[in-house]
Parts: sequence; C-alpha cells; structure tokens
Amino acid sequence: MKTSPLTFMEGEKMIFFTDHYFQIGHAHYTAGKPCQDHALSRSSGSIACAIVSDGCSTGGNTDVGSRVLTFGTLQAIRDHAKASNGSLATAKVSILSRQQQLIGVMRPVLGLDRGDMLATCIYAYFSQSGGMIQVYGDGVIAWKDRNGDIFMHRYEWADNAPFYPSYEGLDLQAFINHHGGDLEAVRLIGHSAFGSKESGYVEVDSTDYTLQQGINGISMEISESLLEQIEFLAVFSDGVTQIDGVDWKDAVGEFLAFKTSAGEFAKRRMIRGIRDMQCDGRGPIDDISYAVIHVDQEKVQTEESQ
Amino acid sequence: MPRLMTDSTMETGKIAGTQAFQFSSTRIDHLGATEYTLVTVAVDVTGSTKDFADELRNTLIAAVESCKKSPRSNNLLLRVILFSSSLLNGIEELHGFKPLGEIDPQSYPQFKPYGTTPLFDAAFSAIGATNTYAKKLMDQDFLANGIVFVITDGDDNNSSTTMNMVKDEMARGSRSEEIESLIGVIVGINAQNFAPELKKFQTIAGMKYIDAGDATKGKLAKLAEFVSQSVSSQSQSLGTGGPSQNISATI
Repeated sequence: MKTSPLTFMEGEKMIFFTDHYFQIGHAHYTAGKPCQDHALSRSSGSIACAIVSDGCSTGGNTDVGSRVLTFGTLQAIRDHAKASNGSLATAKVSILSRQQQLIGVMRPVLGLDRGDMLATCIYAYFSQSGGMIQVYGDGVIAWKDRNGDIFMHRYEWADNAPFYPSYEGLDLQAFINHHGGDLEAVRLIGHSAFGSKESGYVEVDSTDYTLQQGINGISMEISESLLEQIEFLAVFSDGVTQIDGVDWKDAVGEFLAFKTSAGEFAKRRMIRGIRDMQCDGRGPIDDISYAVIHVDQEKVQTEESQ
Repeated sequence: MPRLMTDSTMETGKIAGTQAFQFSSTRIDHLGATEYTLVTVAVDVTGSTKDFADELRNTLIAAVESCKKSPRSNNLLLRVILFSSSLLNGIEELHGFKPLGEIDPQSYPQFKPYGTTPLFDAAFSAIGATNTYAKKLMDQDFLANGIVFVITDGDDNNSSTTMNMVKDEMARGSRSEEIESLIGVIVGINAQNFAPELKKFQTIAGMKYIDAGDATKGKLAKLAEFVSQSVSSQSQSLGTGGPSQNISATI
C-alpha cells in the first residue's frame, strides 16, 4: 500500500472510498437466528458515508429492521447531500428527521411491528469540508491516522440496554423507566483508547453521558484539518467487543490493518481477521458489522498545471 | 509471453527471480470475490500432437465449459498456456488469470502443432505464475489456493529451466504462506513411451502424474471431466488449510 503523506499538498483534494461487511455471530448461528447486524457504505468520491445497525436480539424481525434503518439513513444522507451542497451545518437534525420519516413510512408498508424496528444506528458522513459521526445506541467508532495510530471510542449502555432510534411514545417511556426514570442519570459510558499495532492499545479516558444525552444521540464533529489526517475511519456494531478471547481494542486494530484499499478491502480484512481469531477461539459471539471510509488525496488540475 | 495488454482489467507480472517468464492476471480491484482457486492448464502443441490437436482443443474447451457450471465458478481464475519450441520463448499465453465469466473458450484459436517440447518451462511457468499471483492475493487479504495441469504427450527436450527449478517452485507453494495449497498434475496423453520419464518428473518435482491413455474421443472426454472435477475439489478445500484429498489418481 502506498505511503500517505501527513498533510495534503496544495492542489490536492480529498477523495473517499468505502466498503463494509457484516457477519453472523456464533450465538446466533447456533441458535438458528439470522444475522441482525447490517452495514452499508457509499461514496461519490467527494462525499461518503458509512452506516451500521444492530438489531435487538430479543426484538422481532430486527434483521429486517436493521436493514430498513441502514437504507433509510443512507437515503436521508443522500437527500441532505443533494440539498446542502456539501455543507454539514444542518446535517444531524435534517438526517434524523428524514430518517424517522422514511422508517415511519416503510414500517407499515412492509407490515412490520414496532418490535421489528428495534435496532441501533451509527453513521459517519464526510464531505470536503469535514465530517460528522452520530451514535444512536452502542458500538465503536475508530480512525487510523496517516502515522498508523488508531483512536477508538466505545459506547456502552448500562444493563446492555441501548437506545434505539425507533423508540417513541409509550416505548420511549418504557425505555426511560427501564433506566430508572431519571433523564439526568448516567446510563451511557464512552471509553476512549489509543495506540498502534506496534505499541499496543490502552484506554486513556472515559466519558459519562446522561440518559437524555444518549437518547439525543452522541455527535462527534470531524474538522477539515482532522479529516486530512485520517486515513481510515470505521463505525462498528458492538459485536466487535464480543469476540471470544480477543480484547475489543485489539479486534478494532486488527480490522483496521488494511493491506490495500482496492475493491472490497474491508470485507476481506474482516473475513481474514475473523478467520485468524477463530484459530484461538470461537470468533465473534454476537453478530458483527463495520463500515469504513478511506480518505485519499487526488491532484486537482489548476490553470498552472494544465 | 503474455499477449500485448489491451485489456485494462489485466496486468502483467513476472515470476519471482526471472526475467523471461511473465504472465498476466486480473487486477485486484476488478476481483469480486474474497477467495479464489487459481487454475492453470498448460497444453502441449508440439509436432507430435498434430494428429489429435483438434481433439485436444475440444477437450480444453469442454473442461472450461464444465468449470463454468461449477457452483464455485465465481471463485475460479483460469490461465491457459500453450507450449512448444515453435512459440516465442516456448510459451504462449492464450489468456492470463481471468474470472470464468470473462472467458469464451469457443474463441480459443486452432492449435498449430510444431516444434519440440519445453515441458519443464511450461510447468515452471504454470506453477511459478500461480505462486506469484497467489502471494499478491494473499498479501491483500484474499484467500488463494491453486491447481495446475500440464497436458503433454512426451518428455522434455527443449527447456531453459530444469526439473529442480520446477521442484523448487512446487516446494515454495507447499511450504510458504504465499498460497494455502498447491496441486500440480502432469497429464500424459498418448505418452506411454515416456511414462518412465514423466514418472521421474513427478517424483522429483513433487507433482502428480496421471496417464490419460490414448488420444481417443472417449479418453479425452474423461480428461475434460477429470480437470473439471479436480478443480471443483480443490476449490471446495479453500479455507481448510490444506489441499483437496479428493483428486483422483486415475482418469
């Protein structure tokens, strides 16, 4: 793989490539359940998104629900990108609104119950001016910079009861009651870690989030200057934290150890990584999914260079 | 030598450590699956095959068409080479490693048998190209294994490589992590007079020798079936860590 410089030179702009993969976990496979994770990613070259969704294992047909959520989110991002011309200023509100609208329409059309729609959603959305990451529920986000260092953030709900974007009305109240009824109580923890394959990974920080903050979704803004330093960014379902015999930080590092960014690079990496992990254990216990954006640069033709 | 590269989905590679032996293969970014069996068929087109050249071509076509019907056809990449001293550098590549769906075997040219037998060069090219391309795939998180068929009616009498060089390439394939497993098969057709030499080649090089008998329609049809079944078997063993144990010892 070619070496990527630390900064962009004048006359270069960002170009995005994406890939994604999802696989059934050992527990679902042995229980005869379908894979309830789903992942999607898209790039137009100058705009990209990566989306994962993890269906509730005690919900209904949440394998369908997670797909409705990923495709609904993808469409919402497409609609925003067309309308906003690359500006991310209104992205979170606009995408949430459109996402809810699309899901609200699709559920009755497909004859799905509310229980079928219980699924988390994490997405990353990049444009030339920067990016945003939005977390509804649990999972991991991680990026690898051009030095090879990896920064990762794991979001973990109390009682393993994550928020699902489809909660509304009585379901939302039941969710709040399950978490003790106090919207200011800390019910979501963000664990941050850093490192590299050579030095290993360590947890460096943890952040407490209230129930209300978790319901609103955790947002992370990626500035243009930070984006230029990122080589790969990935969003994972929480399946990456449940691999038999493998610490979640090592698993994330392994799945970001790309040899190439050609073709289905993320799919091949995860398949190979899981195969290696299965030599020492059962591999992923829960369904696992990730979606990846690769940030590269391309020369921009200027009047001087033509 | 590979044909002049006009297909932008293909690229040229060199067998490690050689300048003379080149091959072509599909570019990584044009591959749709995550694991592949690399299949090579090397066909003898020396003067002595003149009487059954058409049948040999039909056998090749039948083998390719049969592989296309395999449930694993999307995970096969096929390279076909001809060998004879009458060809430039002794080897002509009809096509490099390509997905079966992109191959039209009916368009294979009529063979023009002439010249003497660079058998070791053909085996070296087939095995070496498989190892080299497999390494490239494995380095990029693909899983790859290989199977090579060298179909001949005689012993070597015109190679620049040696039996030991072929042996080294076979050993490279079996001991390293560059390819999950590699099977090499020498198929003798009308080759009863050279059976001792071909068996010696088998033993030294670490390949299998299969006597396909006389070049009759029936025997050649069985050869096509053998090739297809062996390919299918090796493809199904991908991911097991070793070669297929189900390659038939006879046709």
